[in-house]
Amino acid sequence: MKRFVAAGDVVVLKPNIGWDRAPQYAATTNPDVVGALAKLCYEAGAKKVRILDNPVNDARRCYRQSGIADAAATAGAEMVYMDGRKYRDVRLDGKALKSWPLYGEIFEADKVINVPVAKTHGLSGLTLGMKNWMGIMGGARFRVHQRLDESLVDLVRVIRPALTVLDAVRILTANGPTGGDLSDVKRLDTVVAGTDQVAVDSFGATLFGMKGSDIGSVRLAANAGLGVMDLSKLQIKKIGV
Amino acid sequence: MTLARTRRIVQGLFLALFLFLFIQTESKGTDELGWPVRLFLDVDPLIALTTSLASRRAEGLFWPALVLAGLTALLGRIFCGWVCPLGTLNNLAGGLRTTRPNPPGAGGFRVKYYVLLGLIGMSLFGVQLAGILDPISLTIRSLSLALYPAASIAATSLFDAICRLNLPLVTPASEAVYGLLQKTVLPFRQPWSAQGVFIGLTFLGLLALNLVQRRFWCRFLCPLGALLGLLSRRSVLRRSVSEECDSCGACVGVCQADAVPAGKDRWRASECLLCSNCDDACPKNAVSFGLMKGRPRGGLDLGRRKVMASIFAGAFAVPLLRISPLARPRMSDAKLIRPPGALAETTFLQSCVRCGECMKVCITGGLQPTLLEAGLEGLWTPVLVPRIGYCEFGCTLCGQVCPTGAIRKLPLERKQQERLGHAAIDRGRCLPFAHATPCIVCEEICPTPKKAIWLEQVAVKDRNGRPIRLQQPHVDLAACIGCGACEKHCPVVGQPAIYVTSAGESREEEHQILLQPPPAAPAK
Amino acid sequence: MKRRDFLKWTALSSAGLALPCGLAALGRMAHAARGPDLVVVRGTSTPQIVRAALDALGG
Repeated sequence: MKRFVAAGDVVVLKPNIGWDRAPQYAATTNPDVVGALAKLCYEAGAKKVRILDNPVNDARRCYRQSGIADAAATAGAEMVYMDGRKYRDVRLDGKALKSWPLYGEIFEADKVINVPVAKTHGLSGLTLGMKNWMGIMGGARFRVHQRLDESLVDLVRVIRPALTVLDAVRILTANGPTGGDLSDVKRLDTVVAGTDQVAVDSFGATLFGMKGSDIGSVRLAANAGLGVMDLSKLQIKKIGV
Repeated sequence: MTLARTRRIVQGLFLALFLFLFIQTESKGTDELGWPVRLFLDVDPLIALTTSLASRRAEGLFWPALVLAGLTALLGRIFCGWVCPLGTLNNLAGGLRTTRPNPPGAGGFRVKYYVLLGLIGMSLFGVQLAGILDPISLTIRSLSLALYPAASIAATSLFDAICRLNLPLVTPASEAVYGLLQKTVLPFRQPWSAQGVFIGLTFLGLLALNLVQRRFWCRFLCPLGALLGLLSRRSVLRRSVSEECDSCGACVGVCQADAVPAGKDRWRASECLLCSNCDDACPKNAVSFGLMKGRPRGGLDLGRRKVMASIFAGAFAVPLLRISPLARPRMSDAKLIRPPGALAETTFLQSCVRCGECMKVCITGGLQPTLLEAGLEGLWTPVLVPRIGYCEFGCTLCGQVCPTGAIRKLPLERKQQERLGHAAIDRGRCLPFAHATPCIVCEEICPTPKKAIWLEQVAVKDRNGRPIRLQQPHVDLAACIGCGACEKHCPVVGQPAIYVTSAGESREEEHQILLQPPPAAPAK
Repeated sequence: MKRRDFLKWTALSSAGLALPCGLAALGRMAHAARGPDLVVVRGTSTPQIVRAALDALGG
């Protein structure tokens, strides 16, 4: 972690805590993944680790039921409820979004680590790393679905995490992104980590038997030069523990 | 320390407990609250009596109320004088009146007994409106739906303004105070209330009546006070006056009620709140409070005709209320979406005491007080307004805080299958249907494990004839529970393109749409 | 060249070197030395696979 977090850094972890679901439903990022990352950040000398999301369901319930509040408490990290005053209009000058209120802490923190969970989604096919940035959007964010892939690429252009850790300990293979049925959950006991968010998402697609190019946002982001979609051009290290 | 001083401290403590329990009536992320937040409602014998009369249900719910009834029979109206939060608030507001007290009215104190009898008359015939005037219910409702939301928005606006000014020293200090308030007394999110002005002004008006006469409400209007007054007539803890008394009348002015303590024997035990002000005021020290034998002499004398008239007035109100077309079968207002676990409408109205606990605890703030949507009989009962807040899938808190079981406390698995109604799509407004524009938000946020909203892949054309592939949503009535999450988040502003109506709600056999509606899960 | 001009010139040119393109190139060079672009770790202990992933990315 020392490569990504320097002593004294304020680190923001952005898991997917969008839904009021227990960890076994794989609708939210696995709390053990979040907890382990928080711990590693502190080991690397981080001053503060802050964990936040703008959930769709009630934030209190999402934080508790996802198990992430407990994991954060164990690791000594702070759960942050979004404060309406801290959104600020960020100029995106993108294809779909000209500007949008985004959560200020993402830009003020020394380091940001994206910790999405891998699951299906009705519109984007899958929700992985890039889609996770919807969780820092304020405003009428459900309008974004009209041009979702382009909007995500517009966000990725300005949000540059130090690291992306895709949680595939359990993946949700149907009825996403909310889930709620254990028979839709598949256990893979895997995490995918990298600095290139497009590459992480492209690999994430393979966990569902898809290709990166099947996911609109991955394809567009790669075309825009924001990362690499073609897995054959990447050096991928697979480890069994 | 004088008895009156002790009483004031006890009153303060009970008011603090009441407010503490009120603040705790809020989710902390689990499905338990951890405190007996409805304690004051549970011990309220007026609620217990009228609810069981009106709904013909007892279900062993009301034994805490019997405790208070028993205590009152033994010890008199200590609840009114020492415990009741509205009584204490009246005392505080009474401090605003600086002029000398009015002389006790001739028979004004009897009005509250007629009010009580009228409410009982109504409940005998199946209409429960006692909660409108019950002091506990009234206070919690006024706090929940008016004063607390108003205080919250005032605090937020003030601290936001100081924050924007960005003054040295001042702003950091105010932010620290704001943070502390948010952690302790302020709500997690701003509550909104459809009836805030109406309910709030009514409450402030009642407090303002202290300017006319101190404890105006308690003396003349409170039906719970009347019920406790009736129960207290043979209490053993009483006031007694020794031979020292020379009828100087010093006690008359300080009496918090209309017990008219002037004469040695001619005072009204049913009106005495045991506040012990008369004890303090007596220059001869002739007054004492203690256990007494026998029966106090001053009677209540309500008048047989007036008693009968009150009961009949209540009873006659019933048919008037019941000719509302809403009371007809299959005539429920489409937007009258009741909380999960609500009893069938008739019994629901007979049980709901409009205390506002469910609306206070509602995690999304979607439960709102009705005005006339449920008829006058249903005034201030809870209705889910999904555009304000949907019913959170994993939450059963409204059923837990309901003091009368008007909203049943369902186990979570059962609640998650309880249909509040069904969603319907307005194809004239829905983006994929009407405007060839992709949108799947309703499907995305649908919380049922097997999504009740499903998407159909279709090819449509825009105005230039260009083909567009997109997905159009459909509602599966067998899976939809009418939680309203889709309506809440539909990006079509104002009138949403998907909305819930009460049609299909589990609680009413008559309101089903499907020939074979999905059965509720068997209780595990 | 006067001493003041010399100082100005060096300050400006070093600022120029530090512009984004220069930095990106340096970043790429450093990156190449660091190892894999992506790490995929599988194992039953979640904390351990997270730690292993971070170790493999260069600690």
